[in-house]
Amino acid sequence: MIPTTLIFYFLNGLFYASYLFLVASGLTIILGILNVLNLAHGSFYSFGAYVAAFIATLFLNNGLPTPSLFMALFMAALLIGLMGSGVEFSLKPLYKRRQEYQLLFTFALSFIFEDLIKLIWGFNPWTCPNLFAYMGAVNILGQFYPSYDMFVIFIGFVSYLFIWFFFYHTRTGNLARAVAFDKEMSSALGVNVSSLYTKIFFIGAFFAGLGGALILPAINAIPGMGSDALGFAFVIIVIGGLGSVKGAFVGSLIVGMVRAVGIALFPEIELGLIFTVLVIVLILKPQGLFGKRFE
Amino acid sequence: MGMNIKTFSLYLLVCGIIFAIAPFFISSYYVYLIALGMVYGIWALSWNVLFNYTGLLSFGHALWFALGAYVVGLTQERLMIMSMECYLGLTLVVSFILSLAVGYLCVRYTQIYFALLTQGFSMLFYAMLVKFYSFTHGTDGISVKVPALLGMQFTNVESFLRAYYYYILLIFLLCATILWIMMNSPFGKSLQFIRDNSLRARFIGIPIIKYRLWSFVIAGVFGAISGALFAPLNRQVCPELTYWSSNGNVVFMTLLGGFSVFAGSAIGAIIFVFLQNIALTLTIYWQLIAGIVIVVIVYLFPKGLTVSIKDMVVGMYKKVHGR
Repeated sequence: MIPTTLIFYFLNGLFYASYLFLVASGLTIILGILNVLNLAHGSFYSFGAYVAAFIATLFLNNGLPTPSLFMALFMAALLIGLMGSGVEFSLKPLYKRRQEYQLLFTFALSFIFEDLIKLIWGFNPWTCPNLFAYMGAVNILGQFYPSYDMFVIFIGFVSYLFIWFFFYHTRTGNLARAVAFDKEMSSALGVNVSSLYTKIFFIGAFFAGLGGALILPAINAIPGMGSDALGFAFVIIVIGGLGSVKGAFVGSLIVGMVRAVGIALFPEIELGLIFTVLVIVLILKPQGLFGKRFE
Repeated sequence: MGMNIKTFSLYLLVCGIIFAIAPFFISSYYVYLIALGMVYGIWALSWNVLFNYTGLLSFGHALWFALGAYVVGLTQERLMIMSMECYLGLTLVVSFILSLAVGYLCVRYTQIYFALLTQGFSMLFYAMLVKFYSFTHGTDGISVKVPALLGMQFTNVESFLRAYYYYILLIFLLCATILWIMMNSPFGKSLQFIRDNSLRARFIGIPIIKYRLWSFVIAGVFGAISGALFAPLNRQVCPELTYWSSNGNVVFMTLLGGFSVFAGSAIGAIIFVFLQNIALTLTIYWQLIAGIVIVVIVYLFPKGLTVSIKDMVVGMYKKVHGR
């Protein structure tokens, strides 16, 4: 009996970790390479969920089969990526200013985006449970666990592998690391820093949008979901070390597990538990677990 | 900047007299709005101690505001104490201890790291207020009854508001004076030195972490005082006081007024109250408007609205007079 419960806690932990990793990884990539803390990142996540709901509803109303909804989720993430590039474009004039101005700007954007969501989609929750029901459940030691949650966990791991491959085995990824290391020198050697920044923002926003789109079939999209996810993403990247993708991965696992146990056993102090972990990490290792820039 | 204590006292006196006679000419609703503006003014001034004078951008300053407000709410409800002075005293003690603890963890970081951590603590406080339902009533909040001011009881809400206005005015002037003196003392000058060049400040022997911590504590305590003043004015405290958007409001106020001068944030707070009051009668999408205004300020008026307008007027004057 107890082993099954433990397995379920573990799987729930992985599930939280997966979608939180998608949000946190984009945040940490943008921070590590552009040195911009994107406070509007939570909005990418919530926009991802709402756009996915919108496209999915469109698909279903036009009589497309349920599996086509995977396509809808992916399309939503791509659209959010484009939105991210747009945000980066409007940030360009601010790079030469003090960093605080970029923070204020993305902060203002998060204000605007949160209200835009309410303006476009209203205050009622949006959802799309078809996919969740379609995938059914798997039998684990006599208990049922939703297959869709397994799918999200799988995507989380694949995304980590993809990001790792991108930064260490593609030309753009290597150039991005070079720019993070020394922007002026890379620029002098002929790297087009400006277009690289746009691409990095695209990737960051894409993953946040994917996180939002993926979570949609399992939960409801509601106003304010973005700032909650952003809060978790902050904690994750501080635990893992700012700018480190590996740190975001390990941080997501830690936060996901603590959250799963917290929700199951001590729901009142779930956030308190997560912050306790954060404070312990900060006291023992102020730069986070893997706190160094892309090198 | 370049202002001595005499000029400052003069400005303060003029400002005090204008605010003191204003209630005789305006309706209670505007008395309430100006009182709210002054409460927010203390809050914005305390935020600017960190931002302008120490160079630390806090995105979690609503934590202190909410802390002060909840000290009032909880003391009234649990301990049945009805004295405003007692609330303020308790707020001072609680906020001093807590800001020392939170500051200890935060001030070793600067820039985005600092912004992130302060935001995190503010969200943690929000979550605690919501989750500990039996103690804080969760999202319902706590309703605050009219307290006694300097031992005087009030039965009529209207007469309380008029008296409380002067109470707030006095504390506002007091806080502004204390903060101005602090920021223009050798301590304040050292903070600005740390902001401009922390490495050099360390070389000449300024203990930068310790100074940043004191700056954090000052900001926290004054922020909490403004929150404590807010509670009886609003007659209701709720967890939203330390939510994400509330953290943004204090940033917005200071940007409106201009952070590079001392009085800027307080002026911004009063503009903010009236702007929000007008905007909310027109639309429920207040954050959208606030966001757009911040974007415009960041792009076009980086020194803050009032300072940029002043610069523009001075520039035009010089052009006209050929100097």
